[in-house]
Amino acid sequence: MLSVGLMMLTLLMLFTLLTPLLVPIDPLGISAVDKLLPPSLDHLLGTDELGRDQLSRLVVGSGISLRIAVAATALTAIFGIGLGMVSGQYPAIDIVVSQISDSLLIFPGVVLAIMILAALGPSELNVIIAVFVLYVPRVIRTVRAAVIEYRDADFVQAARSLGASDLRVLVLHIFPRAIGPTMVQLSLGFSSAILVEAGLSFLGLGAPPPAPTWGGMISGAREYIRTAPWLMIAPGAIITYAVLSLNLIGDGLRDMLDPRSRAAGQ
Amino acid sequence: MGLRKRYRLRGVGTAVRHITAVDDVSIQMSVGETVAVVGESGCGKSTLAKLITQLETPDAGEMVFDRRPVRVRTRRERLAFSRNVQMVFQDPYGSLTPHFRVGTLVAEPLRIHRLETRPRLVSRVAEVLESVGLDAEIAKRFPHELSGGQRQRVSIARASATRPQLIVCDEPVSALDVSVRSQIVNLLLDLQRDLGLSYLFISHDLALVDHIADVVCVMYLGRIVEQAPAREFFAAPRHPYSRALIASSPVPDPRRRSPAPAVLGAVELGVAPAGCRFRKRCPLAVAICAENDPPLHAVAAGHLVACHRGNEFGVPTAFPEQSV
Repeated sequence: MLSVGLMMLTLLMLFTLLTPLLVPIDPLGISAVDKLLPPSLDHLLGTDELGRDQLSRLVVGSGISLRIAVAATALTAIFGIGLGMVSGQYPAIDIVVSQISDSLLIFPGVVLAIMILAALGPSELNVIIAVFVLYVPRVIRTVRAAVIEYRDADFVQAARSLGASDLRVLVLHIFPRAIGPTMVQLSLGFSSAILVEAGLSFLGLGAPPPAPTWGGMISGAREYIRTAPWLMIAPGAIITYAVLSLNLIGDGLRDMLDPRSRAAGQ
Repeated sequence: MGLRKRYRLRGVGTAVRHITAVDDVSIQMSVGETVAVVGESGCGKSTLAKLITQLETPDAGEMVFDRRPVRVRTRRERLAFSRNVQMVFQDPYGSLTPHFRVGTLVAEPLRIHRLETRPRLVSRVAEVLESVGLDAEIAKRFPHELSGGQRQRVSIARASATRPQLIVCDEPVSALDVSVRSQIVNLLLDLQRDLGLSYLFISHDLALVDHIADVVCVMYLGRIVEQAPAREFFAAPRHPYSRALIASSPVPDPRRRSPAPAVLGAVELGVAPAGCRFRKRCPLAVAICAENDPPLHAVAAGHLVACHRGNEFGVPTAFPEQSV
């Protein structure tokens, strides 16, 4: 499962990076004559209502999507792991961090993201912030739980009695025990980031037009679903593909790292 | 004031209860000496070990090391202390970080205390491993690839790598197979001879204590109830609890029947009765035992006992109850 997911993700990245080298890409070029053309050799995925090349828009959109997801996941990883370790180790800090991160978990995901973007205004950076705020509590909780689990373990006490500092104990002795579940959370967070980004741009809260986003493309295609269904199918398919590949990676990691579910799967 | 540690009990009720795991314990040790602490499960032995190694902070009392009171507030103080006082844990399976290789585990104290430069580290690790009777090749292995005895050797290697003066051993052999116990004990004795170590040796195996200890301390419900030079302790124990411990330790002689139980009932952890904390289980308890908590007092040179009737038994070897 893990290898299939990784392969699919690699293909998506190659598609994003290599397509501009193979076909002319012009996501913004408007042409009234060429509007709503079905797929052809000139326009492999057809054109939209303004005559813009769908394939170009899809490729550029996938760049935006991946960029946002990577940035949000990186932020989530850095702050989630850092805050999780600190709050697992120091009860005084834990009270503050856990209260804030738990109260963020109360909101249904997308609603919180909409609130944040409504407050900050639609832009690529703000989508990154919204996705980060949405997923950082999960990573904090995962890392914190591992720290609490191993805080009083014998091998941690042994390291402390050798004179190891808190930082050394956290980073070298405890955190490696948490890498597995943290990676699972991050990969699932990555796929959700793509989904949330698509959802937000569908609602017009993502990167503002004319930037081509997957969600924005679906949103624009709604009116032409009967006359030009390819407008909806291509971005829909690629979102499904991206999320599927990342969920396969997440599930694969979980199976690999959790001996219980590995035994159950066999 | 000796060391004291109270733990708060977590409960659903409104009343906050505490358990005093270690209550006013004072131990003096000399260089190169082995002091054994014995007692049944839950008597506070392991808490005492953690207090001495400063893994836990005492609520009261102070520790003096090398004539200076121990302070571990700052990083520098902690390092200076942990370089000299190390610990070996009971469980050889849990006390080695599972994702570290043996070489990394043994190098860790040297890195923390900056005792070795990087190029010399590998050969120094090999030296340390050889000093505990392990092949240097083992440095590449992970703890789960080792036997229990090998792991405990690795733990001892880590604890002795900084050339400490005191190693606190918290039941270092009780989790091992009987066949490897004596090897590990002999290793500890060899290291003591070679490095001039002192041991605070926590155990419930009296035969082992008899073999290695210079001084024996008996703990009961967080308190030391008897403290004596080992030879004198085993020849003439004064406290009824000590006698019961000695009487209950198995003797390899099939003709000797195990004696009748010399204590009554089981310990109620954390609930010390008024007066002497042992009186409810003591076969010798009299009226005064319910009234006053007997202080630890000297009955002979270096022999302390906390029992109202500790003086009555000069050199008896058998319990009066045992003949019944």
